[in-house]
Amino acid sequence: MKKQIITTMLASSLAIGLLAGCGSSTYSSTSESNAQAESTDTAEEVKIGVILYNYTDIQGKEIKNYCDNYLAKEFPVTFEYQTAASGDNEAHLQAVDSLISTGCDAIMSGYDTVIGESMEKCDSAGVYYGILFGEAKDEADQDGLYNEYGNWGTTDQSNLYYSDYFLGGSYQFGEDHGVALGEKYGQAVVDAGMTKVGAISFPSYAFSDGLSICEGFTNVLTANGVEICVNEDTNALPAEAGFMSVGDDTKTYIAKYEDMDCLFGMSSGMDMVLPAVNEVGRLWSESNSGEGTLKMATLGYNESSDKYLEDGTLIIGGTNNYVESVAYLFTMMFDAANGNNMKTDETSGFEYNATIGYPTFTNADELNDFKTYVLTTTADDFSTCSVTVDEMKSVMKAYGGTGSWSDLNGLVSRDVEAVKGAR
Amino acid sequence: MEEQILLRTLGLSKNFGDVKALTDVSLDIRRGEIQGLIGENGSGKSTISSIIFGIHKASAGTMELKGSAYSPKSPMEARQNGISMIVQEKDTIDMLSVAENIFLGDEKEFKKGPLVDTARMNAEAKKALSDIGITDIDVTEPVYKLNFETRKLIEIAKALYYKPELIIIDETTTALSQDGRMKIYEIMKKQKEAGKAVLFISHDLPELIETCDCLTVLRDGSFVRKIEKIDFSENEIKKSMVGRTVAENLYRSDFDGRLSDEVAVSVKAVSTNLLKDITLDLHEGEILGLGGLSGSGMHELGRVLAGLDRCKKGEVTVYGEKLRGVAHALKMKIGYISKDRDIETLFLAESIQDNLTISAWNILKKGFLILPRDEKRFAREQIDSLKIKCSSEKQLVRELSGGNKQKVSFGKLIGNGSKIMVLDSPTRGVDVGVKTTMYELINNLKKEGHAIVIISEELPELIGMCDRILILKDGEKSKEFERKPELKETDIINYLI
Amino acid sequence: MKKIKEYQSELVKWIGLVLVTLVFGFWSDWNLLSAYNLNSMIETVTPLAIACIGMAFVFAHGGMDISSGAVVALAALLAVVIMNGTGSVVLGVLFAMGASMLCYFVNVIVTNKFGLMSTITSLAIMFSARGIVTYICQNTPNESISIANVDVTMFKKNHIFMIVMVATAMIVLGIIFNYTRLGKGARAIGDNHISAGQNGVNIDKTKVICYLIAGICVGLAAVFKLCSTGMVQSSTGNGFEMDILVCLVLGGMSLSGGMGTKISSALVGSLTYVILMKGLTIIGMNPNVVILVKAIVFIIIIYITTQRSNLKTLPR
Repeated sequence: MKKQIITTMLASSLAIGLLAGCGSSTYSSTSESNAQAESTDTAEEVKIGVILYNYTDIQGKEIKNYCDNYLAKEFPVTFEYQTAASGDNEAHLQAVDSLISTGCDAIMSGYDTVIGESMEKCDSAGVYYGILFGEAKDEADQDGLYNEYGNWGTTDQSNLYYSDYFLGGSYQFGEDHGVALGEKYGQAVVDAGMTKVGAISFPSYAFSDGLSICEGFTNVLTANGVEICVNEDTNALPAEAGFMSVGDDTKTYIAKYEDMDCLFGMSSGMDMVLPAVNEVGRLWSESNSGEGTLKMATLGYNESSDKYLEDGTLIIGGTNNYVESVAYLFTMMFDAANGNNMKTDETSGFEYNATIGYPTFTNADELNDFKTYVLTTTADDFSTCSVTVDEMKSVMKAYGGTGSWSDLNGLVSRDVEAVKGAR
Repeated sequence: MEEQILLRTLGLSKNFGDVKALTDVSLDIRRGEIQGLIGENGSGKSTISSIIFGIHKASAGTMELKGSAYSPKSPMEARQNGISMIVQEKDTIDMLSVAENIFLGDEKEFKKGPLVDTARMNAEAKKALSDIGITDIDVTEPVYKLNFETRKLIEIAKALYYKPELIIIDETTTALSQDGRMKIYEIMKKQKEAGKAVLFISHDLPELIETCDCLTVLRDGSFVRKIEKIDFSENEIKKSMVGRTVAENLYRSDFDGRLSDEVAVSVKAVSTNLLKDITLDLHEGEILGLGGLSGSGMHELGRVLAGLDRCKKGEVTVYGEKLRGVAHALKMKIGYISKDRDIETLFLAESIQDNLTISAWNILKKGFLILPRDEKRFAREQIDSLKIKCSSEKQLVRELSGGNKQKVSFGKLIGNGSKIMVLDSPTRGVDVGVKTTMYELINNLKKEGHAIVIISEELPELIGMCDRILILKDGEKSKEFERKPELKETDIINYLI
Repeated sequence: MKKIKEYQSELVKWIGLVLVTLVFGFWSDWNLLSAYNLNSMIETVTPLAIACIGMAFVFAHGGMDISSGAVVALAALLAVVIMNGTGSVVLGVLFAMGASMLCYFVNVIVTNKFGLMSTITSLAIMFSARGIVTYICQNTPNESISIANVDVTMFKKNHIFMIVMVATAMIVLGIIFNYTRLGKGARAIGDNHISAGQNGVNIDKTKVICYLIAGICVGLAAVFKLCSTGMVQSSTGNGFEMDILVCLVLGGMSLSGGMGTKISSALVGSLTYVILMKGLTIIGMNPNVVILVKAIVFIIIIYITTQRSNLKTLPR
């Protein structure tokens, strides 16, 4: 009997010691920064949570870099990161719950996953919530039911849309849901002299803007007499790719059109579509002894974009302006946590969605500007990035700024040229 | 002293936690001697033998083997020193073949490159078995296919294969039929004639008196006395074992074999896989004995009576109602104690209270509920009336001695008001003191009008206790005996074999 | 003193719970007990505790189940379809329980009839249930089915209701477990099924009822799980079975069953587990490390419980 007590005590002390060891080490790593924020200001310490699919792709890296190495150094703010696998609603909610428990004042969610349920938690805990790459839609209110995209769960959650704590999202492809962007891509493809063009995208429930982008894209092509490689199911563009099977679906699609000479990769174009085309030997490349014939237009950027742009494989590439997205939510959240919520301030002109820029590049100069003014990981120089600290402070009331949502929207919707002009 | 001393223990003691299992025991085992070791349950017989065989380490004291110090750290080491032991419990591994069991741990002897030379091993196993006079076992067969007795014989073959100088036989014969026992006696005799020694542990006093050259008596972990063959007297030995005089006759003294008219259980032309066309009536207030060899079907008949086995043909009726399985049997107040009491009847890891109450839930329940208060009261009643030695009703059954365990089993039957009791080998592994109590109890139950079936391999027990004895052979009724003073074992034995 | 000894193992569990609460409470500056965190913990513990309490019946008789996660998904799927179709929450709950009971019924019947190990059968059930849910979800437009025009606030936000449900389950099933033939029989089977049979416990019937009780509980847990996310998708209930195992083990339940099985293990275990996990999150432990800690705690507890049962064995 004595032995039993001793073993139990031993084990519990062991377990607690173990936890202590692990706990303290990670704790220090997350709160690495912020102490030396500007002393002249009265802004309070703020903790912001971030939920993304991962922190290893370009998007994750860019966001983490901008937050940890720039914002956290210039503002009294700490960031707390959680991962929730794509499409796993339970994991997303758990991440929201964890972030609230850790004491976050606001949460940036990468996508519009289970907004209703997440907002329910945030609303009851008094935590601000916003979407980085997705649009806030009041759909539950429109049809009185749940929406087809499953974002706002049930009717009783629809009024959470109007909660003080829901800060909205953004149009990632412009207010027209990407028609103009699609036209831009189409024009680039036409200019490159392509004759037979295809496009592949995620299912529309997950990427609804894909349809409007494709619409703009197709319009330009047909107006210029370029042949289109239609999806046989819909007799239009784009072909559909499953989340887990982009590579295979791409291969199946291009196999049907032997003479396709350009493919618009909309479903992670650089990371997933291009490699699949390359694998079957269809990718156009001079270094590839000129055997392949297929050139690419992609939504997306990664480290290999340089090479492909240079050898002519890539006609046009581009990506969401990550910095603008983060800067938009951060500015609102930081100010709100300091008692200046734009949503409740009637003079601010708050709207649910900002329009975030989608910078593209078609040649080396544009790519260079893209790297300088859009990305932060390539140069590690934040003075030229899309939104700077001083610009944010000019809007934040906590730093004596205007507190105007319209000013903020103006800051975060600039294209590369406008940013370049401001630097 | 003409005999040479093979093994000597000097002041051996062994503690298990706070329990003193053995205190300062010194004994000598001489060459050419069969030494018996006797004592009640818990007297330290098994403890001392397992120290000699290297299973346990003595807490104090030393041993000498052939004049030099001996302290084995493992059974392997004991075996290398020429000591083998056949343990009380099952010691074979079911899924291994007979040969593999015999040479378990010694496979390297048969190595052929990286593999084991199975053919040579099998041949060697066959030889080992024929050495002890067994020729009808297929050594490639897995052990689980064999019956308990044959498995024991395999263990014996294993023990003898190493030509040990001292062989320890721990309560092995209780598990064996007459036939098997004869084999063991034979082996012991050979061992003795070869100038080697045997340490023989048994509960069966007549057996010990018959086979041993001297007897060492242990009580409560201490040495009591050593008796040479010329001084053997059953009463003397019993007295030393229990520390008091034991009545010469353990059994019931009356010879009134009359049966009441009320038939409790009636078995009508029952056949199972083993039993063939058995018919019998069990009357109220009757003790019916079932005797036979281990394969005779008497245990199976017990299971049929308890509703555990189904009849292929025929039926069992209880007060005219057809028996339908074990739950029904319990409802009809039939109680059963299995011969494998520890495995089949008791919950060793649980308290006395839980064990006693399990078969009495129907009596104890109020509405749907069985309340701890009632359970405790019930358990206390049984503990008191059966004089079960325990610290409290919460004590675990596995901590009890064999006799007290058996009392718990009885308590279950008495407690739930069983009117018909099927007792399979009720005194197996129980010492004389407890045996007396058991017989007294059974006799009292009879007088209260219970119908009792005793299944036993011990003929004196059947003769001493039963109103009628039914001898089974190969699943058939071979003979029925009435109770009378002049009935002798020799009268019965012919019908067994 | 004797009393204390008798209830010692019970006491150790509760002390462990209090200890965990105190340690993490102190560590987190009592943020652990903030209103949000308390509510959040109640929401997490409700399905877990209810499922654990039901599952105690399965573990008590020596059974083992790893299908509960998938069964939760299937039950939740049926519940959401019925709720959306009929607009009745009650019907949804009943169908969820029904589906779950059916899964466990098949499980126990197959186990009994073919003498399989219950783990293996539950593995088969797990794959079938998960397969059905994945198939159906994949064929919906957004790979998930949401609760539509039905008010499930009660199951989602009514914390009093949650506490009442857990308490009811604990009391009702606790009485059945401790003071009826069924509960006692189940535990006896876990100890020694041969003896149990010879003492008149109807083994097959007892097992079936135990699994059905587990089914009811898991079905109810599924409704709580469903309502907390508002939808069903192929990943619903993932890992739930392991959480149940960890909770039970943490509560000191012997996984081989027997008379010594305490149903309070289910409650204490799930409470301790949820507080532990929440505490670790609050002090800022990396979620990946939390999983590792889960594993380590599991191993330590298994080690202790096996040690404990070894200590009980006295040498001859």
